[in-house]
Amino acid sequence: MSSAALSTIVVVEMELTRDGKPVANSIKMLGFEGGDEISAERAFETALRAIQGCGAQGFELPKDQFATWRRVELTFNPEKMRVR
Amino acid sequence: MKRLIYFGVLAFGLWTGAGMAQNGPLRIEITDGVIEPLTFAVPMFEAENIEAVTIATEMSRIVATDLSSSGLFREVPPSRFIAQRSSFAEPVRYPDWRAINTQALVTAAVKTTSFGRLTVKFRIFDIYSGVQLGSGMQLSGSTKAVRRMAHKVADQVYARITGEGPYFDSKIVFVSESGPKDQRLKRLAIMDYDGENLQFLTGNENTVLAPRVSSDGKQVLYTSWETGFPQIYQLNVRSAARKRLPTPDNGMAFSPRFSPDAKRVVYSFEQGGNTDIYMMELSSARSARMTSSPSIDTAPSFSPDGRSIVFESDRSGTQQLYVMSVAGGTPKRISFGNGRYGTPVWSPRGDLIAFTKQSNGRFGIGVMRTDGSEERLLSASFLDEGPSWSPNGRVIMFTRETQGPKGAPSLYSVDISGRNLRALNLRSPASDPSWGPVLP
Repeated sequence: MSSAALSTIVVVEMELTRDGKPVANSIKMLGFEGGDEISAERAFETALRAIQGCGAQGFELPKDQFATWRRVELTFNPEKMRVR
Repeated sequence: MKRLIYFGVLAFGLWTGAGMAQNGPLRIEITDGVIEPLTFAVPMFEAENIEAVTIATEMSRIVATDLSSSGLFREVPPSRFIAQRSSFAEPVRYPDWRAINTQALVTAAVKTTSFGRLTVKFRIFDIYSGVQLGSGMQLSGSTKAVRRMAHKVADQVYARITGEGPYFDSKIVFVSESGPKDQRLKRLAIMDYDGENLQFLTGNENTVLAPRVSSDGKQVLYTSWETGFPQIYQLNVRSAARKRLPTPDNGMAFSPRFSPDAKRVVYSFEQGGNTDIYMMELSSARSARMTSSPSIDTAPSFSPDGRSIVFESDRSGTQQLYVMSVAGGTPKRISFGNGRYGTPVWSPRGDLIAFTKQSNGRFGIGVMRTDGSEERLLSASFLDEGPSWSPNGRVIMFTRETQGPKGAPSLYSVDISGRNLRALNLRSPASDPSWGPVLP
């Protein structure tokens, strides 16, 4: 991820299925802060890959609270994330 | 809930205790995580005619090597591939690539013509999203420029995925060294960013130092002892024609650097034990003195907008970094850490200054904001010095010299995150790298 994207906060919304998987095409960027549109787009793509990679098998979530987590708004703030 | 691997894949758990609006979405802030290299696959490029088979193989390996060398990508080796694509036009089997944890896929086809021309068309796919990134691209060039075209493909992939500017298709001018340590022969050389295609620009009859490439990559300034004293020379990269810059004869001129528009040169001039910084208009060959302190002011470097310079000076009693306007005025000290600072170089992005720092008997390469804040050391060893920025401002190349009677310099690069420290694999000792622009 670019240095500019690493200083960009992106807010992402997604819907989840009952088995905790991201609904295809539901993941979208609601907004961003701290960078320009290109760096926000790259940061969003990175977030998208992370969500899809992590959620491919379904997130482990309490099924009886589906109504609570059916829609999720994620704010990705990479400022304190570690680079490996 | 604050754990998610940004590039990697790990468990993702939700707490119901996270911020939640009534009837609205569950709101979570992700502040913790690990950003890992992106996994990618480069299947062997398809050869569209028999003459292109060798080229296709070579190009696909160069692209993969370039991407891996950046430290921002990690290759999924071809031995793990499930999907064996037989045609560039064939649809991508996303599940096969997901199964081996591939996040990005680069496919390409290569064709040669009877006129010594080469065409490469390529596509980039985001495997997790199941989409092609952007439209396909096509490049054409000479069959003699296989490596350059492969670097161009890698640059496009790198730029599209990371958002950084490209840098693989670029050249580095440096000092190539040979002979014993106490009688080292030094001459200028130029090579691709990865050490390939090395060519010498000068003979080794005169010691040369500190080459600096112009922003268009066509000219090099360097210091030579040809006259018995250090003087500054300007060399045309294409013709190797050179001329001495008309600095005064009654002193030593050294440490030159072009302005971003290559119309001016800043340099150091020593006379009577005092070294100051001067600026020369190349069109008129007139020099103007920029500093007048009774100290050693040297190693000037322009900001990318050409309005300021950063330089090193011992005016405070120890070697520190100073920034001043090209229009004049009082230099402002920006380095305040423990140790001595030198050889500052302004990033092509304008946001950082790289430098050499000497502290506790060791030398390291570091970066700081242009106001001196957020200083970070990226390397440390017996002797690391002379940073030079990649054209995209993401990577720094420098000289690392080993200790002892057989100690020799070599070139290293490091990402500005401090990761991905790599030695450039050259056959002979090398020092003083100066990274040129991305080639047109």
